[in-house]
Amino acid sequence: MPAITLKNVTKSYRSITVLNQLNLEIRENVITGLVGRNGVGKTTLMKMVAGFIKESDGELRVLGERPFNSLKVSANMIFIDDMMGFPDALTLGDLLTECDRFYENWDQDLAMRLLKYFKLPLSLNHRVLSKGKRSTFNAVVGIATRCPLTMFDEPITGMDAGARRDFYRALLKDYLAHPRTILLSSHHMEEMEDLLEDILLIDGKDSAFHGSITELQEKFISLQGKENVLKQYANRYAVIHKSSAGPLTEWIVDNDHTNLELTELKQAGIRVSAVSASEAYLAMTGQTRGGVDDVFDAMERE
Amino acid sequence: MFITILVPVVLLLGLLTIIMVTKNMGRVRIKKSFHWKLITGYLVLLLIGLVVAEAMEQRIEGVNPPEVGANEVGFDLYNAIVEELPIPKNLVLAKRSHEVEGKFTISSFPGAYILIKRTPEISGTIEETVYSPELMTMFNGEDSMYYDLSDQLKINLPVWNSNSMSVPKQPENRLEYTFYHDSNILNQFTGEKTHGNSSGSVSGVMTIHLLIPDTIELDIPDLDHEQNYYIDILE
Amino acid sequence: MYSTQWSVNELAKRQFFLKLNANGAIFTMLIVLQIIATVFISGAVTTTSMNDWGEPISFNFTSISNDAQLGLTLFWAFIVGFLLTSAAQRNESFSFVTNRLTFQLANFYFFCTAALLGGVTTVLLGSVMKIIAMFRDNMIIETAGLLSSPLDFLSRIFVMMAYTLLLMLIGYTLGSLIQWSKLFIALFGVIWYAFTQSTFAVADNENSGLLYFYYGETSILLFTLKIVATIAVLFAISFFVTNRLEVRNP
Repeated sequence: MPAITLKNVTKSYRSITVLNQLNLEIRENVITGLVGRNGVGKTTLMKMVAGFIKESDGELRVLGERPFNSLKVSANMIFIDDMMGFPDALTLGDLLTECDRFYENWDQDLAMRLLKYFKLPLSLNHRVLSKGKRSTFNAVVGIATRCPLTMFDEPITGMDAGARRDFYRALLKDYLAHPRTILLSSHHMEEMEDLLEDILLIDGKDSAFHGSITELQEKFISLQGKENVLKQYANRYAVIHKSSAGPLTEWIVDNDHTNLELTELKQAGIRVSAVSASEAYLAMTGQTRGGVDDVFDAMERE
Repeated sequence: MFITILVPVVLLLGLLTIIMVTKNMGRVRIKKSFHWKLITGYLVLLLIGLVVAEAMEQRIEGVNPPEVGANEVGFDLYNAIVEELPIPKNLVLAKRSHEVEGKFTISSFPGAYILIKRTPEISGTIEETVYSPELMTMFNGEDSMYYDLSDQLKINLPVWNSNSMSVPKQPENRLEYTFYHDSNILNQFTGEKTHGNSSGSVSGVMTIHLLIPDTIELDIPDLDHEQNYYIDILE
Repeated sequence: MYSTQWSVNELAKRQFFLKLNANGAIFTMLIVLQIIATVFISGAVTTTSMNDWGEPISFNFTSISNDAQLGLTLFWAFIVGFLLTSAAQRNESFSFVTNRLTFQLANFYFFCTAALLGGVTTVLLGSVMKIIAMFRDNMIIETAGLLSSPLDFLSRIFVMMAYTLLLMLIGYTLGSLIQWSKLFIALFGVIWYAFTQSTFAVADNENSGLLYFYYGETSILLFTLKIVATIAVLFAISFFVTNRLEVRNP
């Protein structure tokens, strides 16, 4: 049974449509990375799944129920983001106690240990924490609640590199010990790709890719060779990415080559290799086709 | 119009203040237990207040001045004296008799009303009765109920010697009363709604009633209303 | 796996305790307001001077009551109602398990608690004012205490609680509607204007108008019915709005 099902789900705010006719299923007990560029509706999708906002149209099912106003969904779900509000009057310690009262699977011991590790004293107030510390605290809450459906929206905002690495590691370890459905959105694909099983890529109000991380990688291959050689052999294919670092140039191209073609490329001295998930992601979202450089190049030419 | 503008402004200001204060409370990091301790302490204090107030109230019970209805206010003393009707005892301040020799003089006086009745007796004795003015304060406008505070007035009695009487200068009367009454809104079902202690009344000044035998010659000042004294000789 | 299933009642209760823990400052505020009322506005002084026949008789009487405490408590009630509709309050609740019904119920329980405290403290402050009055000259107590008329004492607490709860729900409903659409501010302005014009402008006829509907009621049973009905209507209106509210929406 999928944890989350969307059938033709649309969300619009007045006249602006954020998500249009979205169809997808999120598998149970899988870590899914929710990726996409700014403003494509990742947060909107998560808030809808959390039951915070209401779908405008279509059928949305989370754990078998419509999430808006569902107590079952609320009890089995936690949604962590940097807008998460906690009462000013309560200290971090008080907040942990409240979590314990509300979430059945809450692991108080784990939460305390993690906070201690991240140097977050229980006597502090949530509001006085720095941005990174606040994100860390929220993330710890997200891990220790052990909700069957756990969602993190940009959980690493403001965290330093060490904290980010520790967070991913802690999440993975706890996930392995207590499997659950995790939805994780971040712009830092390269940091979390080791963690992810599935990728859901939202682009243009719709799902552009949804599948396992290897499927995403297999959509592309990387060709490395001297630029003139590449131009000679590979110009028949859609070049998605060019980079010329050092003597070799790397092109990432659609992986729709026949075996014959691949042999041909290899014989020409071109190194054919698989791409990483983050490279594939960047290629998919067209973030690398020249990107913002094109804007400046175009201006220079005129 | 006044309320139309004032109430929303006050509410807005209040809202802003409270939001600011709560924000600042967050900053100084008051522990949540502080609030509960404060509330408990406050309630205990209020309960002690209740006990003390109840105890004090029991002790001073019955000290409230007598309550009188509208029909008992404004007793027509003049009429009662002329018609020789019974006069309530509480209005009588003093009843004295004085031996007078020869001519009897009443010197110029303020602040009293003298009623003189000549008696056909042959003697040198003047019977004097002094009546107090009434001081009433209304505490319930709906049922016209008054507190009778007449006995609280300080009055200097007339001074006599062998052949004259004078009314001394009256002391200044400053009466201070404190009323306690629960808010009317609370008294919606207790029948104790108040309508304010907004009216008091003093009826006249002290009345001196003299019974003077015909044999005594009288020397009284001219009747002069502008000088705030008054003498009436009853026939 | 998805075994966690709360009943609405249980969750409303837990949310209520969360609210109590998180909003202790609201009660501290009440205490501060009541102390201010007691210390600074202790009783209105009315002076009547009467001069008769040239002899000065001045008769000053001071009326002391718990009007000021009552007024500030009701003012507090309205503001608290308003305060609980804020986005921050909503976000705090939705960080934990809840839906909009349990959120609304928890708020209502909170109001009941606050009204209980408001009612009891205001009536008890009457005793404090009595003590203040007793230190002055010639005190006349016109309100019987707990021992002499316990039922009256309880009825005062009840009336105060009813009005406090009513004002909280009015504030809460107004706040909810304003959260829903800012256009309601303008509408309330118009309603307020009409209300004051109809209630206070015709002061000569004090037995009419909206306030008299509650204040003029002499039967405690009918009064309770009126208050309960009004609170039910306000609860329904505010829930109509709350049930649609979207959370953590910037």
